[in-house]
Amino acid sequence: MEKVLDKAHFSRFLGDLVTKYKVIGPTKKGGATSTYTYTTFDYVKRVEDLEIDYKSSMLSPKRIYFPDSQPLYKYEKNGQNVKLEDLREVWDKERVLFGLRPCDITAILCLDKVFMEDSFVDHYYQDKRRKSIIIGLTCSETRQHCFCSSLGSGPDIESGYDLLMTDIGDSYFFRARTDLGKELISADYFRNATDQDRELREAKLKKVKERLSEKVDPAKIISVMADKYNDELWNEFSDNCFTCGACNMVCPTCHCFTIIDKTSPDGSEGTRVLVWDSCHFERFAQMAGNLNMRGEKSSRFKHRLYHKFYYTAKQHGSVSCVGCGRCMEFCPSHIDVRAALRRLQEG
Amino acid sequence: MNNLYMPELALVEDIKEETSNIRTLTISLKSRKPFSVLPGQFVELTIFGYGEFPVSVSAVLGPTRDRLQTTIQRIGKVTKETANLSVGSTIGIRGPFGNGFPLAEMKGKNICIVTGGVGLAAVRYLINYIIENRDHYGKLQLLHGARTPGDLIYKDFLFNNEEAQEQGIEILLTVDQPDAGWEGHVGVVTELFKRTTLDPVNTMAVVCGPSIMMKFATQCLANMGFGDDQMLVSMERRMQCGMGMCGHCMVGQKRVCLDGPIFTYGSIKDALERAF
Ligand SMILES: Cc1cc2nc3c(=O)[nH]c(=O)nc-3n(C[C@H](O)[C@H](O)[C@H](O)COP(=O)(O)OP(=O)(O)OC[C@H]3O[C@@H](n4cnc5c(N)ncnc54)[C@H](O)[C@@H]3O)c2cc1C
Ligand code: SF4
Ligand code: SF4
Ligand code: FES
Repeated sequence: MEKVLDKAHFSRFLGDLVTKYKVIGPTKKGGATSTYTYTTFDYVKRVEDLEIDYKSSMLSPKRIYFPDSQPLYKYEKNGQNVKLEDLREVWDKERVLFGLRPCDITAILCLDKVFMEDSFVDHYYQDKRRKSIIIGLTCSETRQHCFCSSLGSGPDIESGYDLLMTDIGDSYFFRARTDLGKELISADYFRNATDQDRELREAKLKKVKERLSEKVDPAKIISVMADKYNDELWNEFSDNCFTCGACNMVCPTCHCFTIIDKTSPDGSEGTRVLVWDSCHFERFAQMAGNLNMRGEKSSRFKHRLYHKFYYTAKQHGSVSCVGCGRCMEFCPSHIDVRAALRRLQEG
Repeated sequence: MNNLYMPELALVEDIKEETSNIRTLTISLKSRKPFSVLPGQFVELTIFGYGEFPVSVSAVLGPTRDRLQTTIQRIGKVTKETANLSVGSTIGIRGPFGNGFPLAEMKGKNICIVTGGVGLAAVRYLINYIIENRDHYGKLQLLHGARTPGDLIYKDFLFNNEEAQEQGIEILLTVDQPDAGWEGHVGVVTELFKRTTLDPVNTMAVVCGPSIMMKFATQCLANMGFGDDQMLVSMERRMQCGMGMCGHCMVGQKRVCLDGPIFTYGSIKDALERAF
């Protein structure tokens, strides 16, 4: 189903969403640099809270399901009596995740494979996923490092959402993919989309796609990666890496974590917490007895890219990079992953 | 909802000092529920206040299988704290995790087990299992090495020749550095291959120990004619979740906690990253 909403009515639409659900969207709370304002996903109540034309969010919406620091449980020790208390968050009601970019929506599908479609199901993650309604918003502009079109995760996507919005000038074009999505756009302030609206949408997305010139070919990359594992290019590309892990933190598909205990001084109580980890950190694959399986910086650098492009392709049948560009945009050393990928595919 | 990260509370029922830094804990759940664990699987133990670590299940005991044994070497931050456990201490346990040994495929074959150090703990349950189902397996050999005689775990089992004969298991031992009382072989574990007859035909080899030992043992076995899929290795990696989510235990695309810890040598050799 396709509908159109005049921008003048947008606040009514948001108002209706807010009365029924809790709504999370791009807000004005993010920080700013000379180039961009970085939006943050947070709860919104009014149109004024939203930064609907946001260009970039430094941290992707993955934090909604997979927080950077997630208390798992609390323990209290009294002699040999130990009491455990579950601290994991359960949503009271459904959330609307509003204004997610196509790349970030595709990234959620990657996380689903890890947290609910493999051997073990993280029921807390799954519960949040089932309680979320996704309203995507296609991009009007591109950023320097975007390459979603090479990976099929933008500028237009076919699945992963209830509704996908496109700004077509004076109004928003809505495409529904689920029954719930259809219901959300059934109010009388929506009108049916005409062929002209569809053409406007197509033209808009075509323009965006043309600007996404980077040609990275995942099929080709997957086919050559096995033979390139010991290639000199990995030393070259990792040479300037600070192993700071920023790329992992901003990546919408990075899911590695570590588990730590926060303990009171006398050890009688504490909390076990799940925190994001980075495969670039030296101790990531360090075992007891000082045996480090990825002691070399280059082995850690390539591990991230092999995980994204080769290992997940073997495990789940598709790559787990969505071309959002964040890892390059926020790399203090300006390492361009696309350049490494192009080197691979060019042989 | 079932919080996968919350351990079940368990009780330390018994402690056996194996060496100066290795203990075997006998554990039961406070709920008294039976354990359902396969040989080769592992659990995550929590020492409240210190953290969690993965450890192989070395035995499941009792008529209702409500007790489980693990043998722990004190090597780092959390394992060191096991020194402060006593009978009656409360700990946490999650699991079991991992695939376990391919018992169906091993059935009817001769089994040659090659271990080093605390690696023996990872196959102890398998050995028990084969002894309990002795008719289903051919010849059973254990080639085990430790740094010094004092570092040998499970001494009651290793030095009980009579029982070994009854159970139909050939045990060969070696140490790197002998002490005054040591009359056995001195040298690395792979030297024991020369001291026995080992025919690759209809035999599966099982290897577990320090990385370097696994490397040489698999090489020797390959030279003796063992095919890549006739060698099973029990792998160790840093682990956090045990459930295929945290990314810590990867060897190339394999996750040791899910796809392993038991691999055929062939399947782990093909991973892009070095296995040992
Ligand atoms: C499948 C499996 C079976 C094992 N079986 C046994 C056994 O039967 N007996 C035994 O003594 N040891 C065994 N180990 C090794 C044991 O898990 C480590 O010695 C232990 O995790 C060290 O923890 P630590 O906190 O004391 O060390 P630290 O070096 O202080 O480690 C800190 C954290 O890193 C992680 N970590 C460090 N080293 C390892 C490692 N080698 N493997 C996994 N995680 C690690 C732990 O989660 C730990 O919380 C096994 C490991 C694996 C993966
Ligand atoms: S690897 Fe980089 S471009 Fe790909 S999804 Fe992660 S942050 Fe985005
Ligand atoms: S952000 Fe750049 S410098 Fe930091 S770990 Fe990633 S690649 Fe290396
Ligand atoms: S231990 Fe977490 S993925 Fe294997």
